[in-house]
Formats: sequence, C-alpha cells, structure tokens
Amino acid sequence: MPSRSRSRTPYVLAALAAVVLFVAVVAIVVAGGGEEADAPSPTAAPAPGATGDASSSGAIDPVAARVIVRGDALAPFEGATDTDPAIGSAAPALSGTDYDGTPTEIRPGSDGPMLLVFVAHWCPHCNDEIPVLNEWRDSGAIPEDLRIVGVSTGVDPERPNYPPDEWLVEKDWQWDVLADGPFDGSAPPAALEAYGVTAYPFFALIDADGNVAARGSGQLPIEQLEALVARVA
Amino acid sequence: MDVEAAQLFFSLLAVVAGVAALVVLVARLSGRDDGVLGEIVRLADDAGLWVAAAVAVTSMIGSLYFSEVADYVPCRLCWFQRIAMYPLAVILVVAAVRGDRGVRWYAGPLAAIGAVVSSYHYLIEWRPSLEGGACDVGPSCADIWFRDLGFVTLAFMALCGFVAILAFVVPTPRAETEVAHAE
Repeated sequence: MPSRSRSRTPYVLAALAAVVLFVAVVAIVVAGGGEEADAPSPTAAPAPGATGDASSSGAIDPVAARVIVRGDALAPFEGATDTDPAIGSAAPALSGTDYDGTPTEIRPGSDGPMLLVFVAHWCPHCNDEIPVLNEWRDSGAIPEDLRIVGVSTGVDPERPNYPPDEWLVEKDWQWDVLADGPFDGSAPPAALEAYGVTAYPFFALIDADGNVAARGSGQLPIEQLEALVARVA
Repeated sequence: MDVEAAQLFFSLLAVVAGVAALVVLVARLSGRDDGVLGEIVRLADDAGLWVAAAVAVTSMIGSLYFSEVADYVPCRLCWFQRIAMYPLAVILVVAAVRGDRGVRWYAGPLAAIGAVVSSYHYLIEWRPSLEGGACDVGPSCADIWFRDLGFVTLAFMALCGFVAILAFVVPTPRAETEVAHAE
C-alpha cells in the first residue's frame, strides 16, 4: 500500500494545482481583472465636506460627514436599560447635517422629548428594526410631541447597503437624519461616542429637560418601543 | 488580482473543496470497496494528508488575504475559526511530510470544532435574529462582507475547508487497517 501511496500522491497534487490554476483564470476572467471595478475605499474618499462621491446621491459624502458634540459624553452602555448609570445625566448636544446638507440639531432641553435611533447601514438588525419603526409610525401610536431622529453612524463603504443616504430612502425612513461619520482608524464617530453606543440599533431617549431617560440596544418590538417612550410621557 | 477577483477565486475553490468533500464522504459512508466509490476512497486515503494540508494552507492564506489586504475585519466567530484553522495549516503540512496518519487525532477534533463554529456563523448570516438582536459596534458576526454566487460567504468558505479536511484526514476503518498492516 505505501508504494501505491507514493505513486499516486504526486498525480493528485498535480491535479489540485491544475484546478487551482483553472479557478484562478476563471476568477480573473469573470471579474474582468477588476481594475476599474474597485469599490471606493475610505482612503480614497474625498476630503471632508466634499460633494458626495459617485456612489452617493446626497450632497454630503457619507464618509466625510462630521458631527460636533457639546457636553460630556455618556458612559458606554453596558446593556441594562433599567440600571443604566447614564439615566438622569445631561444628554450631549449634537450638531451636523443630513445627507442633503440640511442642518440637523439635537438640542436636549430645547426641543422637547426626543428619541435618537442610531443605525448602521450594514447591520442586519438595523435593517430589520426600521420596518418595525415604520409600522409603529403608521399605527399613529407615537406620541405627537416626541421627536425621532435617525443617527446614521458606523458608515463603511466596503460594507452592504452603502451609501447610507440611499439605504435610508429605500428603508422608507421619514424622520430627521443626522449623518455621523465613519470610524477614523480606531476613533469612533462623534455622535456614537457621545452617546456611549455599544451596539446597533441603539436607542437614546431624552426627556423634555434634556436628560437621558433611557438607553437601549438591539431590535425592539413595538410594545417595547411604546414602553420605552412612556418614560417621557 | 483585485479583491473582487480574489473573492471569486476563493469562493470557487471553496465550492470545489466542498463538493470534493461531499463526494469523499459519500464514498466513505457507502462502505463500498470496489467500483468508483471504492477507488475514490482509496485515492482519498492515499493522498488525503497532502490534500488536507493544501486545503488548510489555502484557507489560512485566504483568511490572511481578506483581513490584511482586503481589510475585512474579522468578527468574534471568525477568530474562533482562525484559532482552529491556523494550527491545522502547520500540523497537516508536517504530518503530510512525515506521512503521519496519526495526525487525525489532532486535526480531526480541531476541524470538527471549526466546522461547528462556521456552521453556526453561516446560519446567523442568514438568520441574524439568532445572534441576539444587535450588531456589535465593531465587526458583527451577522454582518457579511460579500456573498458570492448567491451563497458563498467567508463562513461558508471556512465550513467547506473544515469539512474537506475532515473528509480527507479521517480515514475509513478499512484504510486504517490496510495502513497498519503495511507498516
């Protein structure tokens, strides 16, 4: 048997090499060499403030969006809404724009109760949660004085559903949008860091006095959303 | 070769490895000692160590390419699969050079654990709700970097690699007996 093994192994390995070579040729041919098909990368992004790149229809380039934070950042959320030490803390103010360039201001204490919904275009749980929010909206059960703002954060051109402006339109997002930026190396986007976001989707409920009423993360059904906003009713 | 071509290259290799593994597993499970199935089993037993080593090394190269060149940041489950695959690339090459079939006692459990993790990873890529309802701020296990051919993701590639290693490195009792007699 060992002699058969020695005699047949080289043929098997040669066949393997031929398969690998064939697959490589197929991949190169099918992908067309790919020189012109490179996806946009963060390093190739226009300078901050530049007009959107070819893959984005908005006036603001999603990877160049920036948010200005005023106030102290909240501690990172640890997952327990009821024992969250940030409850009662002053919510930081955020200043930026949506993807059309329209200013979006988060001024806790000035605009009544607010629900900030942090979403990432590539996150499948955010993709599942937005239809729930839309259903909640269409049901008419959202308190009229509650302002909802979507914070589009964690932007990454290499990941699914980029650009986020088109993704939000496809998801029928009809509330205000604040365009947060991408991760800059290890530095998180400003709005994400300011509210201690640790997972997507992320909810930050701010009462009329400008304090944090609750934070939560993960997909929430309508019943839990209603229970959440009842804290500021 | 750009990233898109590399994705397709490794996707096709994964499919080839997966199909080959299934053929070998079917042949082994058939228990046939003659005909085409018997020949497939003998061939897999003869060259199994080298094929498994090639699969593991290719998987490791692909993994490093996607994280270091394509900048696809590995998620938590990706790291668990790496922990299983990278040692396989080393010990299977050594075993192939030495002709050490006893490596199955080390490679088999590693590949089996890796296959379980990658199966779960592939499952939550299709059913993110199984992961718990939230994406990590860093790389999320439910998030996919690409899905080539409609179904090939990084987790699927890993699964094909682990199953192929299992199929080629764990011999049938018959082959084991033959080798023992030959030695």
